[in-house]
Amino acid sequence: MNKLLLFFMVIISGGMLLGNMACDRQEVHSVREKIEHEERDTKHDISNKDQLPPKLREQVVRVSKEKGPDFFTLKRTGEMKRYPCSNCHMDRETTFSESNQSSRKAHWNVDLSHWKGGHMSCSTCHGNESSDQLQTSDGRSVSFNRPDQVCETCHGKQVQDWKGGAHGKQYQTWQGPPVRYNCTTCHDPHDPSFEKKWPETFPNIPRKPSRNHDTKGGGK
Amino acid sequence: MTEIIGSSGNSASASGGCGSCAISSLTSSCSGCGPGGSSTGSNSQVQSPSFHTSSGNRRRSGEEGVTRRSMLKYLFGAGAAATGASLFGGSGLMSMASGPDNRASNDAEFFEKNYRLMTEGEKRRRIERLEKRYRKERGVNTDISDSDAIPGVLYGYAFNISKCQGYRDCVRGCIEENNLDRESGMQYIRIFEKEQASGFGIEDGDASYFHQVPAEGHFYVGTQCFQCENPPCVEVCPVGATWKEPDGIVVVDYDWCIGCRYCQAACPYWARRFNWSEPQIPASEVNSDQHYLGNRIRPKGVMEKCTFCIQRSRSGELPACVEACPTGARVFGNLLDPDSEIRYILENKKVFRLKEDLNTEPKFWYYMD
Repeated sequence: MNKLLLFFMVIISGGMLLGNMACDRQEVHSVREKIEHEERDTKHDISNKDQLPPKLREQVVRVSKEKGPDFFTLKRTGEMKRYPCSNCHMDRETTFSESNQSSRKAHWNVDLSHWKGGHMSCSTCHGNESSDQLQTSDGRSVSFNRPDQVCETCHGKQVQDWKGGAHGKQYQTWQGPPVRYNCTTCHDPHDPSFEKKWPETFPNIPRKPSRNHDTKGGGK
Repeated sequence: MTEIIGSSGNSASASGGCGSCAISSLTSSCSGCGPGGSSTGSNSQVQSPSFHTSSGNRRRSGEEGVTRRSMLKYLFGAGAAATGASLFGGSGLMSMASGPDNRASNDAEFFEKNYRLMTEGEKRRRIERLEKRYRKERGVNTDISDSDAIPGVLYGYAFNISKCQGYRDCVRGCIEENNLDRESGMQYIRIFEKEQASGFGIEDGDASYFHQVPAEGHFYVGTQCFQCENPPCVEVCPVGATWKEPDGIVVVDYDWCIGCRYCQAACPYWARRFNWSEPQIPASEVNSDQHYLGNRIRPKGVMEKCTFCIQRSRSGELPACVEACPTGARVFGNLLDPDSEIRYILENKKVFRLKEDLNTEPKFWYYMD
């Protein structure tokens, strides 16, 4: 009789163990509490580019901001087909013809639809100081690698969000020093708004007529 | 265990006949597999003709030469399976039905532990078995990782509703990355189109729009698994097949799941998906970079869900949806890193979460410019 009792006790305790394993309830914490308790001081040392993957180091420039650590953004000049511009535009006196499309020659395909309200011309951003640099509306010359400095003069809020991380796109990784796309990776500076288009469709295999998996054929 | 599989030579037998029920322990939906049906092996996607013959030969030889030793082995195996079945709620009965030749590999599958209780060696052997099976059944070479959570990381996600244009590039990226079933058209991500005047709830959103986007006067709200900090789906699972990892990702042990779909009913965000049939993915489209708890090809009859692309995020990459988004509406990062993009958003933008009153504490925030 005792043996039988012992046997049942073993069975029951075994069952309880299994049950405990199945429902391991945790204390409810809000995410905020968790962040406050477990926050790490993950200082990314971005004083040099050594923390970046080797192939990335040549592709990025450093952006500093008033508050918070610096970050990197993708270079632009490598993506530009005809850079440096001074290969053609050698003299500073080059005038940019806006209205006459045929006179634009190599830039025939540039269709300026930036701000439909008008007031934009080639020289708004390209200036006449140096053809290899961009020009802000307050007259500073900035590198093609930092288009944000030009955009900032009108789109201050967006650039501020971009520097913080709320606008724009992360590049490849969430770990280590932040790398972000620059403004012109996503926005065509001459036509910056996003197009209306058809949504994506998906890879599909048609359903087979028979749903009985004993007779279902093999995939293809 | 590995040796048993090797000697019986057909890890495919599990899939061939009634593999899915052996793996998923799903008895209810597996009415089709009787003792005979299992040996036809017609369910797998990529098959060599030799499979049938070898399987048939093995079965015959098994029938002819019943020695005392093999008889004992069979009795012991059946007895153990029956004990297991009674312990685990009768889920193993079908593995016995698939015949003596399949028994060895089925038992190996059946006596598999819950992922959280496996030792490193057991995990490795399990993964080897899986890779072998995928090679045999589907003709794909896979690399399955079992990487653990990175210490000091809690993943968080932000979605910019003023930026999303409804292009659905994220959905495509997700399908391709996570080996989702192409036949049922399974998708983890839903993009709801909503009228601008209608507020933020998803109940009245249209997730099946097909017209040029963005539509005038509409905005787009994307949903997927929010990896809740207090996940109701984990609470209701009767077998402990789903849990929250230390880095905040809610995962499913596909081999432990019994397919009861309680979690699907419990999720207030409609984030969980069920495999009604064996996932069909052309071998050329299978993403071979896999994680045990993530995008490895699921068996039939189990639940699956978004894991923030655990195979990518744990190696430092961004989830496929973040990478695919052309508008930058999706932001991913470490909530415990005060310099991360996600933390900037939480601290500087207007953010909200869906159904916050349920106290599920999703780690997925919506924000506006």
